[in-house]
Order: sequence, then structure tokens, then C-alpha cells
Amino acid sequence: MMKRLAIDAITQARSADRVTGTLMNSAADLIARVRSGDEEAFRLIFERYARPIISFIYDMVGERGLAEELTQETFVRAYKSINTIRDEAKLSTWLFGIARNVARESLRTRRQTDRKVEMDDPAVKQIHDGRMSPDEDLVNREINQAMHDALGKLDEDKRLVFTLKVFQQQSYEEIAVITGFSMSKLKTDLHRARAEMRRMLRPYLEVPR
Amino acid sequence: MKCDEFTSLVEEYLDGNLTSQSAERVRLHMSSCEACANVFDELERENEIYASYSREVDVTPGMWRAVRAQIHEAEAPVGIPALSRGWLAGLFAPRLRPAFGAALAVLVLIAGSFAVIRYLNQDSANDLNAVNSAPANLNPGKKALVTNPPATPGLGDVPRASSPTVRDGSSTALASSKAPRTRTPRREYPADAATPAITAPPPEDDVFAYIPPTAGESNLGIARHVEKAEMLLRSFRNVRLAETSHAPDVSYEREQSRKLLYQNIALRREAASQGNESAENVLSALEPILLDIANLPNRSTAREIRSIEQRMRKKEIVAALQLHSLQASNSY
Repeated sequence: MMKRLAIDAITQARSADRVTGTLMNSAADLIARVRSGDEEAFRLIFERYARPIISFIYDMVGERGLAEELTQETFVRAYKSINTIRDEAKLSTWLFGIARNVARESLRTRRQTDRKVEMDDPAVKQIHDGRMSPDEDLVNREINQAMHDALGKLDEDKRLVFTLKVFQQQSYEEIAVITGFSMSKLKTDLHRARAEMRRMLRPYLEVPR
Repeated sequence: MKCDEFTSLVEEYLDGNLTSQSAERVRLHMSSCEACANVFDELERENEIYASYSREVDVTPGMWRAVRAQIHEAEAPVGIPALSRGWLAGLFAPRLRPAFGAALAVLVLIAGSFAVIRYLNQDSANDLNAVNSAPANLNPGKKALVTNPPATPGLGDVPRASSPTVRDGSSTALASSKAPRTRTPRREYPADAATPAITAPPPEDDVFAYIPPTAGESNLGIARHVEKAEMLLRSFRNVRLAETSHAPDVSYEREQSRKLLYQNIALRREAASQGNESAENVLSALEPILLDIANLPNRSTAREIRSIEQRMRKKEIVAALQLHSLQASNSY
């Protein structure tokens, strides 16, 4: 039920975003304004997409500080190459494509082995802002940590496809554009990623009877 | 539909990626197969867990400022301080480039005209002296600007190359030159043995002579600027004190800071060129504070404003500005 509500909310938000986009500040309008030097338009783009981009990059690299830096890098690159976007309606897909390249370059400069080092990110383990958490929050934090660890254990391609599909709710076609993967590779990687995540998160996935 | 086919399609069914016909077949199979219905429930549970995933990463105001700074770092002309390009770079935005280029061309033309007129007047003054001493050598084509030149010794010996106006390529060539005034020596010009005392007044009729600001005039300009800056910083401090639960409005302070910043840069350089250390120091201390205020985002947080206010307090900048104003008023 929760899952349906969450997915419905995300779908509606994206639809609303599309509707809102057609009424005011559509992606095409914003891009045209950025091209003419309107900094405010680019700030709107940043405000609209920075959160999903940083979430995606964080899922890929596993470190909060690094995710912030790479998110900034993503938007700087986007600004510099704003004239290269071919389909203004696909701004989200284009931005995720840049983010994917930025994350991949970062991962390539680091060790490609298991991300156990990154799993010790103190930012993930600490209680946020020093607040004391009730038991429910402790359980949620445990699940979050388990999810974070499990993501880190996927190989890069599976992590990429899984993150874009499950967390960012991108369509198969959009993921194919972002990643450059064929549809068959995409579906295979996604299926295998789900199986691995299921195995790693089994204690948290028992269906209540 | 068999269970194998169901297993291969159920994920795409949950992703909404099946045709309506295939989706209907999956639903029908689930309704009649308990094992496959359990598989579906498990996948739903998985998606619920994923939907509840919280990453503890967020977009901070500092991230946008960092992006903005990097963008302007990349596109602004060389020599302009990076942090001041936020609005200054707006002058170089594509939509303003033609207008800005035209304005720049006009300024260069005016500066060039002053230089040429100055050069010609200097030349005429030399010719007049030549007329007085050796009329046979005078170029008949040259007209004298005056009939009674002052008997200033050595003016005919002034090499044209040492004329400040001819060499001066700085923007100060546009400074007002309403009436002949005492000329202040400028550090950047080389000493020339043949040049008369550089504090000597220009010819009285040399109305087009460029006269750089005197030290007194510069000090007055700096004093006025420092006064405005002090008022701005006090106003900024009061914004923080008066903040309510919503984000305080610092748009006025931000705009004023941008105006004062450009002036501060120019005055600081002038103070440095004139050897005015105390002014240079106070303007150098003030500049980063003006930069910080000028770069505040539209919706600044109390924390950002507090941070600037703490830096102001640490530098005791308001007191330094007050002291400078007091010293300046005592010297007049």
C-alpha cells in the first residue's frame, strides 16, 4: 500500500511537473533563457533538478561530500554545454546523462573494488543533527544503512540501472538514453540487480502474514 | 500463462512497462496461482522499502553559490576578482555584450580624443616658444593657441614622450579638467632629467590638460565612500537583529554592496598608486565583506547572514571605517 502511494505520488509529481512545465517555465523556455544569458533561468533549473541529481550521484558514489561536489560539477558542465542539448523536452534525461558521466569518472579515479571503505562514511552512520531518535527511527536508519551497503556491493552498471529505475523512476527508454545501454542489457542488469538486492536485504523484506 | 512466464514478466508489470494485454494476463495468472501471488507481494514489499530509503543528502544554498561562482569564473574577463563577477559578469552576458561593447568603444574614443588634444596643445606650446626664440624655424602651418605665452622656463624642453596624457592609458584620462590646477606627481611615470619640476602648474591656457586627482581630492572621495560603506554595514547588521521566523530580506543591502564594491576596487587601486597606505588598508579590509554581502542569494538564511556579521565583528570593520572617517574629517 505504502509502495503504491509512494509510486503514485512520484508519478503524479512527474505528471504535474510536466503539466506545470507546459504552463510556465517549461524546460524549453528555461533553456532558451539560459542560452540568452539569463542566470535566473539556470537557477530555476538547478532548483528543480539538483535534489534528484544529488540523490542519484550519492547512490553511485556513496559519499555525501563527494556527491555534493559532483553535483556542482554536473551543473557547471550542463551550463557550459547548454547549447548542445538536442531535445529541450528531455532536459531531465540530459542532466542525468551528465551526472552519470561525472559519477563514472569519479569512480574510475578511485578503487573499483567493493565500496566497503565508503560504507564507513560517518555522515551515514551518525545521528543527523545530533537529534536523539526513537526506536522507529533506529530501525529506519538500520534499513537505510543496509540499503546503502547493498547498493555499494552492486557492480557499477547494475547500480546505475537499478538507481535510475527504482529510485529515480526513469522509464526504460530514458534509462537507455542516459546509459547508452541496449534495452536487453538494461533489462538483464535490472533483473540481476533486483535479485542481488533482494538477497542482501532479505531480513528486511519478510512479508508480514 | 505459466509460472515461468509470469516470473519473467512480473517485474516489468510492476514497472508499468507491459502492454495492457500482457498486464491483464499477469493479473489473471496471479488471481489463480498462490505461489505467484506471493512472489508479487514480495516484490511489492521490496519496492516499499526502496521508496522509504532516506539518503541524508540535501541541496544546500552554498551549492548553488558554488555553481554560480564556477560558471562566472569560467566566463568572466581576466583580471576581475572571481567573487565579484556575480553581477559584474552580467555586463558581459550575451544579451548585454553589444551594448557594453558600444559603451566601451565610446569611452576609448573619448580617452583617445583627450590624449590627442593634449598632445597637440603641448606641441603648439613648444612651437610658440620656438617662435619667440627663433621665428625663422616656425612651421607656418601651425597656429598658436595663445599670443602671450607665460614665460615659464624650460617648457620648450619638455619631451612630448613624458607627457602623462600621451602615455596615460588608464581610465582616469576621463577625469574632469575644468581649470588648470596644481599637478600631483604620479608614481608610474619615469623621472626625466629634462622635465621641469613636476609640481609646476600647466600653462594657464591649457584648458584641456588632464589633471589627475590630487591626494586631497582622492581622500575626499575615499572618505565619502567609507561613510556610505559604514552606513551599509550598520544597515546590514540591523537586518540580522530584526529578523523574524521567515528568511530576512537583504536585497537592498545586496544591491548597495554591489555598487560600493566596484567603487571600492577603483579607490583601493588609486590609494595604492598614491601611496595612501591607511586608505588602502581600510579599503582592503572592507572589500571581502562587500563581496560576501553582494553574493548573498535571493533567499538568504539567518545562518548565512550571521556568518557575515561574525566576520564583520571579528575584523572590527565598522570601527575601522568610523576611525577613518574621523581622521578624514579632522584633516579638512
